[in-house]
Formats: sequence, structure tokens, C-alpha cells
Amino acid sequence: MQEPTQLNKIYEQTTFLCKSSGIKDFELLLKSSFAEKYSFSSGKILEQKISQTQALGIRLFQDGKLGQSYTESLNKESIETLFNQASQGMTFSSNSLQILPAESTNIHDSIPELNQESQVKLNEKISIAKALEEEVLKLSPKIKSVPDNGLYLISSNSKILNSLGSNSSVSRKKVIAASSCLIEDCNKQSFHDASYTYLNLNEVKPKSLAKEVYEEANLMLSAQALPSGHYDVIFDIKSLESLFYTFSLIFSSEAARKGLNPLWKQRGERIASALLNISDKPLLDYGLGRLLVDDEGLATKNTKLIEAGYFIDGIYNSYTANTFQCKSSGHAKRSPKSSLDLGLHQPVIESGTSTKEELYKGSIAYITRLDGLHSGANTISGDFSFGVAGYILKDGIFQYAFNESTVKGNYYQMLKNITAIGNILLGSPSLDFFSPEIRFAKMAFAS
Amino acid sequence: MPELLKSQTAEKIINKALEQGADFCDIFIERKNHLLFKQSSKKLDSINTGIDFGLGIRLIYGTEVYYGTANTLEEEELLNIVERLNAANGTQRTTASTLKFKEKADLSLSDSLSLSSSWGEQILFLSKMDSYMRSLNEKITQANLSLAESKQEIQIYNSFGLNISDSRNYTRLSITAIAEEAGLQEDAYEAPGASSNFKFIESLDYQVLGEKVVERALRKLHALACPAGKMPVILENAFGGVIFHEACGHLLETTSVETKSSVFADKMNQLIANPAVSAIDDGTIAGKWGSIKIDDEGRASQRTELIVNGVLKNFLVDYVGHLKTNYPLSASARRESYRQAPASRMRNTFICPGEYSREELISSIDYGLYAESLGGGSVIPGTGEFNFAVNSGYLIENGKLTKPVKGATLIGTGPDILQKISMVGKELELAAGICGSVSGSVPVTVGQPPLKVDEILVGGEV
Repeated sequence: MQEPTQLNKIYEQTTFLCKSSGIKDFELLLKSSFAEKYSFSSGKILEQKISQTQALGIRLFQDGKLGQSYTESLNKESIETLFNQASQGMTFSSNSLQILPAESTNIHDSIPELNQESQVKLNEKISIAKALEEEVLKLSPKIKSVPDNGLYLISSNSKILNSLGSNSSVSRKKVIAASSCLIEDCNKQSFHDASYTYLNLNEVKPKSLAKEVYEEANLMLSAQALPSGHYDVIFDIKSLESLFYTFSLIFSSEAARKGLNPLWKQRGERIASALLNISDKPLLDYGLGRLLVDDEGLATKNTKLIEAGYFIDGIYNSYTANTFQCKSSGHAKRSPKSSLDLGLHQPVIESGTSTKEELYKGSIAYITRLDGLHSGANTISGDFSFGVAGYILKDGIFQYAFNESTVKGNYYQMLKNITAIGNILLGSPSLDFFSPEIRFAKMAFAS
Repeated sequence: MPELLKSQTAEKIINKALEQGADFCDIFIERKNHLLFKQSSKKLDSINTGIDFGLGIRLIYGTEVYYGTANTLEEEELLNIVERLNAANGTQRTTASTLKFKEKADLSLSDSLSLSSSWGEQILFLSKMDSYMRSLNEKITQANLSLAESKQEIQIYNSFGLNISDSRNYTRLSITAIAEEAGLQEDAYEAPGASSNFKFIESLDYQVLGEKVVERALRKLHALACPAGKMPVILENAFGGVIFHEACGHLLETTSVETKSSVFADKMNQLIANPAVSAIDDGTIAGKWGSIKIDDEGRASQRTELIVNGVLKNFLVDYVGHLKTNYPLSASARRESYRQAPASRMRNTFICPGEYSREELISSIDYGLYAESLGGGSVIPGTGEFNFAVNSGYLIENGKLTKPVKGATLIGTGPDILQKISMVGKELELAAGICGSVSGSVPVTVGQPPLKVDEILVGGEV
């Protein structure tokens, strides 16, 4: 990983190159990471990996024109090539509203809780990683294998410098543990996987992760096709998060700028059940998605998106804020390699008032797996059709498991068809998305 | 092509790995130049360029893989990576290694294409295509286009003495049309690609391509929701091949086979598909999006017969897969970049042509679905459960195409669906796609002639 002194040299070199070419404004974004991975197969290392990565992105601004480029090599010649390519791009650029944010910032986000040093020795890491496979295999002779397992230790840094004097940074450390279970009985196979994000290695509990993947896979061995028809639905938190993000472009001013956000014109109008309240809360102090500064170096803030079913507003970076003549909401997202975009930091669907008994009254299809989210959703029309698995519950009591079925619907209609929202807030496995359980009325299942 | 890493440095790294007890070591060095143009809202939205540069060092002890990456050529840092990888394994050996590389083979000399340096033609092409698509119908409210070019230069050293380099060109055009009527929006998409440079894009008939996408987006405005249930389906050629890619291809990669996580792991030489089905994975077809001269372990690309008349004949095998299963190597080791260790992956995978015309396929069905435009999919190799999306198509009633339909997911299990492919058409066509798996996202071609599946679950309107 690059030392700050090297970045300062790059800043000086870029300043010189810009001055020589008469370019006034520029921005440098350097992201680097160090990651370790350990995974096992039949008690032997499947892969142990250490990866060091770095990428530097540049944006040049001049007279309403933009040039951008990136490099993974940081020597002097590469920086020159980077600058020249961005300059060449600038000559072809259409007039753009992309400019440097007027506000100069100096925010250094290294929240201690999210940057815990690992004091764990190598052999202990290996032993925890090994347990992610071993503990699953211990649970039943019916288990064929643990195809996906791994322990990941990731340390990442991001630094943003610009010609207006901004100098901000973010650093994070996290641990991810993943396991799975492939089980076979009477020629029928079932698979389940799970992964969780932690603050440090001591929080990883291979036994409880093993129990979770085994119990779910074992339960689904008896799954049958769900009779075609309409069912009230509750998603588990992981499925709900996936569905939410698939259609999260409804909050995107960037999608609106490109004419791809079907709900943008309905800001200020009722688009969902009055029970629904959604905010993005990067400052929420118990989430792992906490973030003080965005990828343009601007301070983040909590933002109301939907209140009592009304679409309050979307999210903006400085470019879309210029386009829609408002202020950035601090939602710029960008890697050094990509164009400026935006995204939610830590979405929270607020708790409602329904108790567990009220939520689960009558018959419910509880969904634990959605397949084909990347291909079976039309984000323009809101229509979707997914493969699905889960359980049928009656008054909260398990009846039977189902798979080999599909669910079809329209997401924008679903938001209006919410009949109850639970009173307990749950966190996703990566602890950067929060929602209570939500009951949706009458969704179409086929088998 | 100049050396990306000096052979003396590579020699030191590999010798150190062997001296410390590794049975095998290879180094994959990569430099990749990217060029991406995006057109939206009737103007050039962005030009993005960049350079990926880095290397991956792989040590294999028995069948255990240790992999490290870096963005530097600093010898000391690279030797340090070897040290750290070895520390995790714990093996110590004192034997001195005296590796000498064979003479370098440079495959880039034969057909290397340059990346475009002046960009006017690309920008003009996008502008022309945008205007043409919008001119076709006033309901087309947006055309989002992108044109990507990249040139990947690689060099591979290994402890068998290999020293080989190559360069690979990729180019792809993505076209999305958005149609709007009475507040309803629908889209359609095409993305042709090739192992080539801008010459490939220039060779496309932009009018035919634009008309195809626009017609499909407009048709979806009035299409019915797809009906639900189990029914016979005709899958069109080209991207229809995603069914074989998901339902079978992934299950034939030793990445799944070696861990017994594939339902086909113990089915070699057994009938796993309807005898109408023969399938190939061929990395040698000139200019195709999934073609490679060498795989990412440096082996000359091959044509691999996977299924012959329904019988499983070969798996897709990389070096680690070969060590673990003993199946013959098929030059199938691929990776997105130096950031991933190689794994067995598909290249250009397709079902071979059969004897039926498209009309014969359609007329054989009383009630079913004609899936004309297919989307992506996914699979769980251990259970064979797959899904893939139908973007648009038609109902088949009494052997004829009737009402246009849109949006459905098809689901099933690989072993079951392969038995139900009962009729295979004549007109084989291939299509470019990106496949995401254990070693990242790699360019692959899927393909097939039109074919009939006797029964598959269509996730449509109940």
C-alpha cells in the first residue's frame, strides 16, 4: 500500500502537469486494500490468498469539460500517461455539469470501532477458517461437502485530494466468515450458504454458522413445489435486502438524469403504503455501513427517502445536484476506475407497530431464497420474476418447506401492498441494511 | 511484446518458492488498457480510460493453493509475498532449485491489434446509432449506449520452465432502448462483442441492430405478462445458449467436480442428456468473444467435446483440477485478472446443430412459450438448480406464434432439463456474455441452435 508521502508526490506532479496544460481543477482518488483469504476443502487448504491492490483515479475539469482516467501503477511515467489520457478525453467531452464540489473538506474517517487491529496469529486464523468447514461436516453423515467457505480479513483505505484543497480519507477493517452445506438424502440434494461481517476475528463463531447452514439445508431436503396461487409474503432479511437493492435506483438522481428512474417524477407524492418509512442513515452508530465522507470528499448525512408512504426525495452527488439545481446529499460513490455515480450508504426501513403474532397471522409464505435477481428484474417497469424457496407458516407455525417455484410481481405495486410492518428492527448479515419484517399482500407463485 | 517482468526476477521468485517446499509455482503478469465510451441523453456522457497492472504468484503444495497479488515489480516485495505464502503452509525444504526458463514464446507477434488512439470514429458511431434509434419511433425516449475496448497483455512463467506471453483484444457494444407510452416504460438490450478491436464494431450493421432493439422495446409496451406453469418452450438460438451454460456448463468445471459439488461429478461416460444433445466448449474459434490462444496457465487453447449424443465425455479441467481429479487438462484455466488465481471456466460453449427447422420446432407445440430474447441466469452447482430470464417472446398456440409476452424466469435442475431437450434446430448462433464465478468475471460465448424443451417451469402470471 502507498505511503501518504507518495500520494503527496503524485499530487505535486499532477499540479505541475495541470499548470503546464492550463488546467485549473483536478481531483485524485486513491483506493488501496490489503486482504487475506483462507478457505478449505476436505480439511486441506483450498486457497490461501493475500492480495494488495491500489488504484488511482483522476478527474480533470476545465470550462465545463471533464476528463477522467485511472492507473494501478503509480510510478512517474504511469502518472503522466494517466494525465495525458484524461486530457485527451477532455478534448472530446460534451459540456458537462460535473465540477469539483465547491466545499473544501478535511474529514478523516477512521472510526476506531470500525478499524480494530487483528492481534490474532496466523495459525489461529487458519484454525478458525478450517472450523468453518469442519464444524459443518461434523453435523451429519448426509453432508456431502461444504462447497463455499472462507475467512476474509480486509483492510481498506480511500483518500481524496483536490485542487480546491480538499483532503479527506476513510479507513476500514472488517472480517467476513462464510460457510455452506450441501446435503444429500435419498438422491435429493439441498444447499444453503451464509456469510456474516464482523468487526474482528474474535466475533466469528464457526459453530453457530455451521448450525445455521446445516439446519436450513436439511429443512429444504423435504421441500416441495408450492401450489400455484397467491400468498401473503414475508422475506427473510437477506432476501429483503437483495430485493431492496435490486430496485434501489428509484432513489437515484443519476438514474433520473438518464431517464431510467420511473418514480422520479412522483417525488412529493404517495408511492407506497402509509406504513412505510425509509431513510439512509450513514451516521447510525450501530451499523457497519457507517460513513462520514463520500467519494467526492463531502460529509455524509442521514437522509429521509420515504415518509408515511410519500416519496420525500432521492439521493445526489455534486453532478446530479447541479443537474437538478439542489445540494449534494453526500451520496457520491465511485471507484478510481469508474465514472462518478451514487449509492445508498446504510438504508434503514423504520420499525412499525405490528407484533410477531399480528405479522404472522393466518397463512404466510416466508421466503428464504430468491434466485435470478440480476436477470429476472426489470427495474424500468418494476416487473420481476424470480425462482424462490422458503416455508409455509400458519399463525407462525411451520407447515412445510417449498422450492422449485417462482414468484412474480411488480415491485412498485408491492410497496403499496404492505399490510403490516414489524416492531423489531433486524440487521442484514453485513450489518449495513436494517429493516423489520414486512408483510406483503397476495403475491403470485407458480410451480 | 516486451517482457512485463524480467526473467531473472521471475527465476528468483520461482526458485525461492521451490526451495521453500512448493511443488509448483507460476507467475501471471498483466497489463490491461481500457477504453470506455458512454452515450446517453443524446450526448457523449463520458470517456473513461485506464491501466490495470499487477501480478499474481501461485504456489501449489500437493493440491493446496497459495496465491498472492501485488501492483509492483519490486523484487524484494515479490520475494516477501512468497515468504508469507510459505509461512501459511509451514513446509520447509532445503534443496536448492536451479530453474532455467525455456526460450520465451511470444504469441502476441502474430495478430496483436492496437487499441484505438484517436477516438473520433467511436464517438461518431455512437452518435449515429443514437440518432438512428430515436428516429425510428417517437416512443423511444432514451438510448443508452456504450462502446468498450481493451487490450490485455500477459506473461506467464512457471516452475516447469514456461515463459510465454500473449496479447488479447476485446471489444463490445452495448445498446439499450427505452420506450415509453402512457407512463409505462419498457426496455430492450443487445450487446455484441468479439476478440477484436473497433474494426468489429464497424463491421456491424448499426441500423439492423438498432431496429431489432427498438422493435423489441416497443413490442413489450403492449405485450402480455407471460403465463405461468410448466409448459414446452422453444428457446431461440444465440443467447438462448445460456440454458446450457447454467444448467450444465458450470457443473462440468472441475472447480465444482473436484469438491464433489457438482451433480455430474461421478457421471463420466454416462448418459446425462437427451441423445439429441451434443455440446462443445471451444476456445479456438477465431475472433470469438470467449476465444483464447492460451489459457491463463499458458496452455494452447483447445476444442473440448463435453457431451456427445447425450453422453458425458469430458470435463473442463485446469491444473489444480487435474491434480485433484486426474482428468486430462483442457486448457480451461481462466481468470478475470491477476487478482484471481485461475480456475476451470468455460470459453465458447454451445450445443451442436440438429436437424429441425425453426418452423418444425414451433409447429410441434399446441400450447407453450417461444422465448425469443433471453437474459442472464445462475446455478447452484451442488443441486443443479438453475434459473434464467426470458425478456420477451410469444405464446405458441396450436403450433403458431400468437400473442407477444414479456418477463419471465425459467427454473429447473440441470440433469432434468438436459433430458427434456427433445428437438434441436439447424441454425447455430453464438452470443457474447460475461460469466461471473470463482475466478471473477470472464468473457464467454454461449450458443445453440433454436431448441425445444418438452417441459420447464415458467414463472409468469398466475
